[in-house]
Amino acid sequence: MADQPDGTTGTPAPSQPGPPCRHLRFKGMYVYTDVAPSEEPGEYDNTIFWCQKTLKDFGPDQGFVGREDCRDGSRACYEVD
Amino acid sequence: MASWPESPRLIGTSIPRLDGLAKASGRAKYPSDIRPEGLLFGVLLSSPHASAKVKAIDLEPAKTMPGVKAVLALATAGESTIFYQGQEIAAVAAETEEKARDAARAIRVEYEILPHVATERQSAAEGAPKVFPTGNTRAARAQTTGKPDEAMQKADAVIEATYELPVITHVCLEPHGLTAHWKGPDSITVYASTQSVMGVANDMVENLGLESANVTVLTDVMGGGFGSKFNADTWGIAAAKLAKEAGRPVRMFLDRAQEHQLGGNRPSAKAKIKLGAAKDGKLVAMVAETSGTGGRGGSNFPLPYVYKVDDRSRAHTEIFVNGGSARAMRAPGHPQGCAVMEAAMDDLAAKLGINPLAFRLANLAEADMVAGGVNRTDLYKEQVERGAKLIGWDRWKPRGQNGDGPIKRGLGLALHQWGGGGAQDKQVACIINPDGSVELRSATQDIGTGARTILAVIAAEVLGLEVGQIKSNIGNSTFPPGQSSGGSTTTPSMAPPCLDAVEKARDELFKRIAPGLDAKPEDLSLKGGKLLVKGEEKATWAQACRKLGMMPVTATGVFGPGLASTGVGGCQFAEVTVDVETGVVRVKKIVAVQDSGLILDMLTWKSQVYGGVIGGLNYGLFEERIMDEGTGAMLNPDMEMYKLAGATDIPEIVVDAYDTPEMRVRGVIGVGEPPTISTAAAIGNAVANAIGVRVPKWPMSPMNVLDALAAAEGKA
Repeated sequence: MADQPDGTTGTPAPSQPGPPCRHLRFKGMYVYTDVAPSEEPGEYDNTIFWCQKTLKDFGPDQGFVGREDCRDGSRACYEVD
Repeated sequence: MASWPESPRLIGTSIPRLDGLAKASGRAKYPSDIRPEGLLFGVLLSSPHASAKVKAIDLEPAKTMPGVKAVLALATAGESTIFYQGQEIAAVAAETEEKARDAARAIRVEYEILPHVATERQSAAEGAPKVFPTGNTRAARAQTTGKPDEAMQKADAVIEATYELPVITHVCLEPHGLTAHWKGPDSITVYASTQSVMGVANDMVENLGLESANVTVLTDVMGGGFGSKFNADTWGIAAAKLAKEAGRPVRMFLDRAQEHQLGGNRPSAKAKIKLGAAKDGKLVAMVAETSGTGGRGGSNFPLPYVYKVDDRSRAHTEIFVNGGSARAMRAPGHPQGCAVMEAAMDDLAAKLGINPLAFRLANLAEADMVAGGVNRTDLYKEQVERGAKLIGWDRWKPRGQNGDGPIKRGLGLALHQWGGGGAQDKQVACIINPDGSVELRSATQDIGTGARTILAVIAAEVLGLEVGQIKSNIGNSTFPPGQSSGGSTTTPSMAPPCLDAVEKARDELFKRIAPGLDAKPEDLSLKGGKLLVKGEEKATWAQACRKLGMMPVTATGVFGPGLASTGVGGCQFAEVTVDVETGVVRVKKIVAVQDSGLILDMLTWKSQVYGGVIGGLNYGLFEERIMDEGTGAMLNPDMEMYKLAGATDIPEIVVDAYDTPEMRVRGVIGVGEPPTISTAAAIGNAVANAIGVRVPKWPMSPMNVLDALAAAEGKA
């Protein structure tokens, strides 16, 4: 856990994000099957993500699930094929 | 390229849904009604605390309770963080629901209670405890187009206002859940209340280590999802694990409080907006600072919405709270964006002294092109004209001129837009049996929209049969891949492969029976339940199918271009009365004008619009998740204090299908979401028109109305 700009501690945004974790899920994957979670949103992003391992909005490591959060290879739960 | 019939017999007419009688009579078996032999009842133990660490869990007291067959920890002692009240701790399966509840209460959990932030105000307050590892807030990507500050200085009229919409929950009448029934050591059948039988099946495969071929998910009918039921959820996986341990099927559905706390919600929205226009009524600039909470997820929304503002800036902040997680909810983001934009438009029109209808039309983009070369601005203009006639807009009066007594009457309107396209990789199988029965199969499901009926309409149209002669067999994950029901994509995704499958099956039928009729396949046709050869009746449908002998016809259809499209618009008008002494708002009438391409079944289409409007009315008048800042608990996790419309709250609703020849050639577009977007906005504007004061907070409850009136008198 590293220091954050606001003085709290936590997982920093990855400097060089990897591909999305294979457990990352969002509605677009179900209804528009050709959309990847790494795809940049348009003018606004209200995508709601979840982890298929926990089926929650936090991962097995209790960290947040999100477009950027789940591209952080330093997380213990991060998995890619 | 495939095409829809030019002169359809059934498509576009009003056809009752195939399962309507079963649903209305109570014979339909919802997933929560399924009772396999030996069924055990599952109960979820959830956290009473909004923010905590789980220090210890002792399941032993529950395991020794009478009738208890299996107990499972869902949190891990020493590891699990509790982010909100209601979060899953453990699950129990027992002979009766009462025994399972008693056992769940017997589980001993030791918590380390941590500081919490239950509301946006509490989370973002100066000195608030930093509850989340990455901080309580997160800035979204800021956007600036043009030179908004410079442009704003040239505006002749400017409004500055803050509008707010609360978190609301999905309130599915059938709660989230499923019944898990193992059919062997490595084979499971699941009866799930879901919008995605394939999604739930995939979760079972991934979380239980099963092979896909050994998982069957069934959803014959289901009681509402609205975007919140795409996955198996922790309690679904728990049900499967408990069922395995007990060796008996387990039914696990959330109770009503858990449904509010765990089942998802629509994020809140707060928008501080500065909007400027020139004297001629043209918008010149917009500056917006917005925020919202989706628990720990996204809360952003489109802004500006519908109208063209060249010079604009937008900064959005996600606020994290110790509340349940947001999930997609019918037109995610659009109802919020629509409400705040339309409120600002109305307030600016009032300041300029311009009729708000004319002000809106003046600020549509010259060209708002959507699929098929359609300029949505042209559609809006015609829709607004139609809606204005239906509501009687010629009765509209400026704010403050709507009654001398305590009962004020007002009119309001709002515009909306949506995509509604579909996926192009789904399949439908069509089977024509020698006994004349016809079956459609696909792993899609009917979440209440009429998907089952719509597929049957297509088959009946092509085969010259009645809709009731078609068995529309969906809601089974082992069938050909079907569409998950979300984003208004089900019909545009499933109708094209259905048409393809049925046409292929019909052509194969003709090919196989033509030689026996001394005819060529191209000489054959179907009409009115009869087989025709060169236009002359030769056999009934049943006689024709008997010529197949022992082998049915089976065909699988795929998506074809030109049959579906995307991009719709619509508008809604509301008429209300407001009692300025009590703050009570009554909606008297709503007009909903909507386009959505080719309408396959006018009856189910209109039902979607009615349902959308009623959902929007609830958002506009009643719904609000109320959190207690002291305890972090939700104060109204029920259907008494969480307010919803009753029968007497539903006004006259006029649904006007913008169903023109130009729309029909676009092909099929979904309609599930668009008609729920602008209702709350139109109601808010009608209230402002009635009482002469903007009520800046939804819902339009007596408290919010009276607060706004008091603030206008300087008494707040």
